[in-house]
Amino acid sequence: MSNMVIFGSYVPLSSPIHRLDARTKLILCIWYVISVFFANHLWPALWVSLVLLAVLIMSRVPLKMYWAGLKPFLIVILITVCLQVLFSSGGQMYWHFGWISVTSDGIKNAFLIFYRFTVIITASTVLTATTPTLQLASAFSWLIYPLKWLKVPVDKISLMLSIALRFVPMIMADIKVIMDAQRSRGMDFHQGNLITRLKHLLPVVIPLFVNSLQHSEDLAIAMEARGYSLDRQRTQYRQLRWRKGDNIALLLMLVVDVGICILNLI
Amino acid sequence: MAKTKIELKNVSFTYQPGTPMEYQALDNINLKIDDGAFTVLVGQTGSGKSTLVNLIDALTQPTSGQIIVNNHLLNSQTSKKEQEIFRRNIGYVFQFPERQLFAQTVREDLEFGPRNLRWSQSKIDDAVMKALETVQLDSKILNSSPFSLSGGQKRRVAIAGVLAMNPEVLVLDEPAVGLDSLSIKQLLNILTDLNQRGVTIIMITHYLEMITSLVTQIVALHNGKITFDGSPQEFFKSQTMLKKSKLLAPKSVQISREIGLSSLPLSIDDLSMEIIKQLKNGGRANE
Amino acid sequence: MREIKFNHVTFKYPNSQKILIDDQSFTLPTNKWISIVGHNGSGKSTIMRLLNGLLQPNKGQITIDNLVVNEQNLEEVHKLVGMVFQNPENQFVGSTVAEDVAFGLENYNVAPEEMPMIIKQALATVGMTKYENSLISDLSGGQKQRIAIAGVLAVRPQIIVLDEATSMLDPMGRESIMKLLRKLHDDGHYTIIMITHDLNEAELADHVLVLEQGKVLANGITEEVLSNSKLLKELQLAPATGEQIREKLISVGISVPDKYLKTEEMVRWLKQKLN
Repeated sequence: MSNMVIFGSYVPLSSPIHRLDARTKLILCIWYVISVFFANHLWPALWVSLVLLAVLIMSRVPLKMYWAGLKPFLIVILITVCLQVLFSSGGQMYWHFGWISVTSDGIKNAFLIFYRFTVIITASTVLTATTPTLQLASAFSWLIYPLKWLKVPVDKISLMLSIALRFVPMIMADIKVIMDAQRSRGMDFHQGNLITRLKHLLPVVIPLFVNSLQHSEDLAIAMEARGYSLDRQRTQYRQLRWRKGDNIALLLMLVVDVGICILNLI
Repeated sequence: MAKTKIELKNVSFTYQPGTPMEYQALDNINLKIDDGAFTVLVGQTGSGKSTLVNLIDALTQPTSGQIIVNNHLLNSQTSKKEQEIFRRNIGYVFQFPERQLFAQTVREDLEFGPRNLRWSQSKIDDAVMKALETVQLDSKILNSSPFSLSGGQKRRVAIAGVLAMNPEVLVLDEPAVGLDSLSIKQLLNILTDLNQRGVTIIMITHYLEMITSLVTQIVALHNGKITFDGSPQEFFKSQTMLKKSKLLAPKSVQISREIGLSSLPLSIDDLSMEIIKQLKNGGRANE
Repeated sequence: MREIKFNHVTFKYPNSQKILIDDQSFTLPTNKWISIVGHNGSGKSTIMRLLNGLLQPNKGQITIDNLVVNEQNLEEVHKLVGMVFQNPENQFVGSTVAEDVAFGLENYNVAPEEMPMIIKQALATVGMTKYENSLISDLSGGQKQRIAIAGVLAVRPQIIVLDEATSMLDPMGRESIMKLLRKLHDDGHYTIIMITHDLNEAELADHVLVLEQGKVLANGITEEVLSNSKLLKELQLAPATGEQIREKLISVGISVPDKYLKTEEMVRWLKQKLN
């Protein structure tokens, strides 16, 4: 019932971004992520972030939802940022204790990492929020199709991927119910030290694991009953369609890269 | 007059307020539930009934308004600690509670709640045994793995895990879903027993066959508002109420209506009695 | 011969001692609505998985009309016998309704340009046309099961097996599925095999098979099988509503028709009697 959108789930809306071919979006996402690594200074970084913001707005998915998608990753990002600040050296030193030191380079790197993580995760969320999972999976299998020559089971990988993506929102909902049920039985998840807290997670992880196992077993049987077989060719219902918008989107991405180059030179 | 056990005063609840996803789940709810009542909550998915019971169990806080249970107050300001105290008198059996079993043995699972409340071992042992007895399970299963039990047994173990905390109020969300008719009968016996011992019961259900003569109050929700609050008899009288809540009347009521009887029997037994009465009367009249 | 035939079928899982189906022989009619009744662990699901070729018997043979179910023709058998499972959450592959209905078509190599038409037809049959592009996760339990049925119908089976497909639904959802099955039976001439432990549902069928501990205890016309109240009591199956009322009336000496009446017929009889 809660409308929280979680990393990995599709938000059915109609927007220019939604209408793009899944392949385009996948390529753009990868391309963008690579570009982010070339935008290492303030201005290009700002430019790259602005482009992302424009895409977010164009996708019509409320910004709050992207924020909700990013939130679970914040702890990991912050830990990495702290490590960067404390353990990298170079530049002007502000403070140090033993082999821990805070330097200007450290702070700069920390900022850089924070921005990269945030932007990359958000960009991937745009991809998953605007593309139905099956389409995403077929785009992915299109992308890795050349690997077929190396005898990689491309179709199986892509179906596995699409099912895995579909599991994510279900597992999230499951976690919420299990945790609520245990809070209702007097459990306090916010109590005690790290070890106790981890221990408290065990009663959540076990039923989650049992339920997911049951789920996948049921699904495997249902798929087999519906004629899915590992060693048979399948057709595809969703035909990916390349439109004018896709060409424009790819051209615009080129413009973004040109922007990065120019701003890097300034 | 029975004492009021739970009272909701002008309670509203909004999900993600201040965002484009804002969604008002409950809108100015006023509700009283008596001590020892057997209350059934009905309404479509999204009507707000789950939010309502989540609030009664202090799993979330109201956006505005207040909830009073046993003189404890819950509002938007209530602290985490107070919420926990508030929650202690209330047991909540979630939908498919067997999907939340986790421990290696049934005993360990039943002791989970009492341990969180830091009871003494002897008190825990007593509570566990009593809970097991209430759900009509043999103490032999205490040392077996909950995952080795049958579906019906698993559900009863999960319910016992809630009962082991000796709640004064028991909330159940669709407890009958997925059970066969025999297990449903067993479940009804358990609820009857608890209610007769003074436990206030609040049950969410679509399955109106679960409404027995014990049920004192039906509350219907629609789009976050209470659209009905009264006795089962009154509820079944109004066909539009049922339709609005996307509910089917119990079979006994449906048949009673179809064959032109004026009474609204809550069980097949009551219906049969009524039919017998009518047939015998009719027979005499014809003679 | 138009029939489903189990000939001395035995089944147990390779790593288990327990014999789930013990040397059973029986036939089921086709183009009929059949209920399979029994408790959990009676072997109901196993029998249907054998029929669909999901499991292979250790001994014996299963034939559908003249087709022998074996590993060589699994594709044909899966296509012929469509299955709908108990938990509506656990049987969907696609995220939207159309994508999921297409899954079976993709597996059987149906050309992509033919799919939209087939999908539309299947959705129309189950009354879910306007949900074609909806997310499955937004549907109610009853709607989900109707989509599962549409997914089965799309590949044009002869037999539709529902493995306790209504047990997790609310009464409204159950009723909608029963109405749909009635329609598929009357208009579509499918063979419908419905596994259930609810005799109110079971009695809607033309034919009932009772199973307990891997053995067939009764197999015949619905009225015949369900009038064996001794057997049903032994199996602790609660009689259907109509039969419950009839038994009550008999117990107080009111004369009622001396044969099994389905609830619908009992209600009709009562109506006549009371007016």
